[in-house]
Amino acid sequence: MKSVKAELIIKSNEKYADNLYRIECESLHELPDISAGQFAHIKVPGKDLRRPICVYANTKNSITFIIANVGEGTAAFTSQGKGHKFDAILPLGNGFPILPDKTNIAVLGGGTGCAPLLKIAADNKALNVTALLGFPNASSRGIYKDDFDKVCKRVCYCTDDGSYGYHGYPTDLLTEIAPEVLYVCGAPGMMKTAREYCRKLGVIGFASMEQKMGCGVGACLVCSVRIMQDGREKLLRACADGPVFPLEDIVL
Amino acid sequence: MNMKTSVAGVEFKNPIIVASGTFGFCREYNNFYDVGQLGGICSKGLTLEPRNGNMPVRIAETPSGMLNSVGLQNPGVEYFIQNELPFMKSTGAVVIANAAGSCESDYVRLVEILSGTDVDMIELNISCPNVKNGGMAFGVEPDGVEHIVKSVRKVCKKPLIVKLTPNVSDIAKNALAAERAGADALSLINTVAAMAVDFGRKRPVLDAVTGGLSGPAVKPIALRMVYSCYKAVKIPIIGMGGIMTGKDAGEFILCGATAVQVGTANIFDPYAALTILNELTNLCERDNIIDVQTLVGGLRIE
Repeated sequence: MKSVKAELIIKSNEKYADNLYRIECESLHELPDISAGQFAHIKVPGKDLRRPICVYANTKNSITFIIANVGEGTAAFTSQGKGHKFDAILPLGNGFPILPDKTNIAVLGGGTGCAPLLKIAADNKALNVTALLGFPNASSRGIYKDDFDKVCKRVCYCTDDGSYGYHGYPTDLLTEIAPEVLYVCGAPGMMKTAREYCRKLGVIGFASMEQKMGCGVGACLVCSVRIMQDGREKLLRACADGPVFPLEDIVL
Repeated sequence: MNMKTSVAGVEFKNPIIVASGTFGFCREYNNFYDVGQLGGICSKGLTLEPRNGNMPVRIAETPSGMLNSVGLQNPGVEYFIQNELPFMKSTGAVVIANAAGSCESDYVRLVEILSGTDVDMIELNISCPNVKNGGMAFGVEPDGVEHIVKSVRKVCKKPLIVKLTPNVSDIAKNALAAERAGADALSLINTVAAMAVDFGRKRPVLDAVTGGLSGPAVKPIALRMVYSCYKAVKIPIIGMGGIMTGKDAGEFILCGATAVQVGTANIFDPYAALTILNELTNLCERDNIIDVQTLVGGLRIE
């Protein structure tokens, strides 16, 4: 899939709890196909290095990002309003492999980590995905509206404080759902629990990783993630070898 | 208008070369544009054996620049020759192999191996700040530079570029040492040894604690060093350090660079090197410069 430099304009920027932003953008030109789990390398105001942000949803001429303010770069971008023009290199990275012959598929996400998972269900409705989504509280859940409900067979919302849905971690529900394939994105603790679950029961798992990134296209070798391959630990590129890796191979 | 230049007898279709470590082995960027339009391509720093590099975090954003601490991660010279060099050659740009090591015998063997390949030039990396006993040990003192360049020169059958570190007391002395030992050209500057601190976590940002600073922040340092070396040596100089625009490239050429390398700009934008080439070409056109080589060292000092 060929990556392009897309010229984008912010159409709307909605702020939610915990410094979360839902930013919908319009593209001046037709966007290339984007797979679930791929990302855009976004030019943010006042910064030289781009910021890698997963594609939450897209059409031929629009794209939506879910962004948490985690530093100066994301803050500079999320403070922009309607009409802000910027460019983004997209799509980049390898998305989630889809296994169409499997019938019990679950996605497991925490906070902004839910964002790359929506397209798995949205682009592959026949998969009948179950979504296990965890949040600190009800208001941080709100950023996803009913997007997952529209494309998943079943959605289990979980909150740390019990203010919405199940009171506890989404990983608590893995045993009940018993998926054949699990797609994960979230905090290292969630990844670890999911990895142990998959190892124990032989479940096929994939996880999307993040790392501080440079070029985004595979050349500069700074965004290393620790992956077991051929029986030894390797430092692979989050941007070009990932960001999605087999869950069991990830060194956490 | 002529944008051609030549360094140590090697013809470049223009003075824009992409710097080692910022362009991989050029495949990634060739997906964005025909990299054969560039004057030259420097490979990622190569070693005899494959290297894993340093643990992450390997990058830190700093004002007008960035630090890296990759630590010469590369697949090894044999893999390069088998799998990367043929593609690099097929682009039509001048191919420069960046050779790194941690001891004299490694450098000599590596240069010997590269001399038997299709690479057009060899850039001796005695200036990587991110590897213990790695390169920079030879690059800091003029005696060290002279010694390693002499040893390598004996086996080197390609035009030899020596890449200098800025982390020295007088770079012109190191330039002269390299020239005396038989270097055909110099390239400078490598990154400036630096660090970034996360106050909140009370930790260094980089896992390796220190790294190399690059980007616009180092440009004034690099210009001064190119200028100092140009006054000191007769061999051609390839200038680099924070080149982000065609005008930046032109500034290095005025200070004495026969060609320039674009590095960090590629990391900021995949089209950067091509954009810089087009900007430099347009600048020359605008100023009625018939031949870009007439600008080399053309800085007017009253």
